[in-house]
Amino acid sequence: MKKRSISFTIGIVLTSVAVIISAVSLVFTPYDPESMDIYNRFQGPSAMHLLGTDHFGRDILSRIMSGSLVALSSALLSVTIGAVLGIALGLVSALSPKRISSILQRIIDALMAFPTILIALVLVTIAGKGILPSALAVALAIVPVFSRLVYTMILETKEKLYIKAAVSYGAGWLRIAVFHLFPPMLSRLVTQFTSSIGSAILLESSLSFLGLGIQPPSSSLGMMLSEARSYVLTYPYQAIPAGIVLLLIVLGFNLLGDGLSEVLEGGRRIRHG
Amino acid sequence: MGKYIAKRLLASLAVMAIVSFMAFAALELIPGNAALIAAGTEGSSSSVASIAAELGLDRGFLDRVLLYYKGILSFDFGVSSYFGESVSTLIGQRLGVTFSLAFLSVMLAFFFSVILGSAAVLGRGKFLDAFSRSVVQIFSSIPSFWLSLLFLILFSSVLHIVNVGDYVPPSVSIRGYLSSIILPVAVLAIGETGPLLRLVRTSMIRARNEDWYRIGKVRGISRMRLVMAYALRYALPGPLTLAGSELAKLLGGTAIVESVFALPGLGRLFLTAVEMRDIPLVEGIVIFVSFLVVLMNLVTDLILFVSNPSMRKAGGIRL
Repeated sequence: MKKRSISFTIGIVLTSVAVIISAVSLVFTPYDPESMDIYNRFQGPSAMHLLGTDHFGRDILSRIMSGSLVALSSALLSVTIGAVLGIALGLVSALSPKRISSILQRIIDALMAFPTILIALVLVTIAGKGILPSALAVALAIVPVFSRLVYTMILETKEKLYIKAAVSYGAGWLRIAVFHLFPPMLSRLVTQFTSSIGSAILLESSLSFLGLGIQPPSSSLGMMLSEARSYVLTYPYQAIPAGIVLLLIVLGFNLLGDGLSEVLEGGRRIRHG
Repeated sequence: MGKYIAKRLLASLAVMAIVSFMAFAALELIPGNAALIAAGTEGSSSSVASIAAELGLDRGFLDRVLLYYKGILSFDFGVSSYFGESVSTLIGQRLGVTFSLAFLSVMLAFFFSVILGSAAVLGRGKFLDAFSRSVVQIFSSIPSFWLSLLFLILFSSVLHIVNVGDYVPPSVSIRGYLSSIILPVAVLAIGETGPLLRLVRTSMIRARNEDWYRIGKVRGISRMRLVMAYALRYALPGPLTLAGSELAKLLGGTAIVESVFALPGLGRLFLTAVEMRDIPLVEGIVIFVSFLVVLMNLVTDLILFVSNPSMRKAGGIRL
């Protein structure tokens, strides 16, 4: 790693902090994130409540901690499902005969052309509200990104001489896919995975904000902001802490994704002299 | 050239057919059928049956598919079960708001990105480039719903400049109209600037590395002329295509902003439809928006194709 990337450094710091805070929330939060204290509602930051309290008097810091865990874990779930399905679809589409592959590509075109929030809303109409339907909706929005990426990368690599050599040696298609096609794609996939987590968190929080994702009393950052919206003109402070945390987490993953691609591309260039 | 256009047209038709079928099939999966939902909790079994007959639910699957495509071809998406009005009328009433939001914000984002992006890459200072890179990162990470809330706090409750909640159509007062859509347009434009500025930057960097750019510099052509006459022409097709498809996407992607700023647009109509489980309305909006998306992409592609000789030769590109 010759070249240092600022994006990478900031990204890794932000995402590590987010992961650590969410992990800590499993064993410790300053208060129970769901316990209400109606006499102490709408408080600003104080020594008792570092980030103040919300409209039920719940501790905002504790809710942000457990909300970050929800955001991270549901994004990880969505992106994993989306990536696996997308990679499979891309593989099948790139390796199958032209007629089938062009039909699959049209379907991916259709998914890509669609506003993601619309896909999510249709899915919520079918499956109902809740954390699982919204995670699936987010996954569905991730699928075309990965399948397009895998598809184009395979088409690029398929023409390379070493693949033709492997074919001429009589290697089976599975061997070629696993040992020859997959490794050069790995760094791009890792990069894409990382930045997709950023967009998944954004999308999940948008759905929660609209009241279609996770349901109360569980908290997610998007739902905290949705609740803050009702008091935005009377208690504007309510909308600030969760929003900043959400922005920093998403920014962290986006920077990490970009930084990774800078670092990995640099690495590749060095290796090839 | 004719062959390319024919190919693109055919592909678009295929995408439309696939999308509309997916929408139909997806909404078939809904537990409890549309007639039960439309009749509500107090509906008697005879009213459920009559609604079912009206919606064509008593026929076989193939019959319903045919009926559905017949409806699409004649722009008849049925009657909304919540509003009790024809779905195409409802969409028509709200399309204007959403279209003006989408169009204005993409225009704004496009010009801002082109100016900042070319100045950052082709200008002298390094500061501007670092600035534009930070803008890309921050603008693409900021949640649009949170930004909307911040704008509400700042402009409505701190500065008292804009009133939210009373949308004024342009036919009543242009001033009122502008002041009711300026904040949502700004929120959307900021969201669109992320991907657009990123693409302008990379295209401009590619332009800077081209031989003709260096030769132009060596020959002493002024930097301004080099950018205006050559680099922009070289670098713009990509961002233009993106702007076209982003505009199309926004037509179905303004739900959050419309909901926060209480604008009577397509996005909010869709949210209501989802909330009320109004199946004909959901179906109608999905089909309508997806057809718009496909058409917009087709038009941008064709414009690019006709306007760019090198692309005409290569047989067209897809981004």
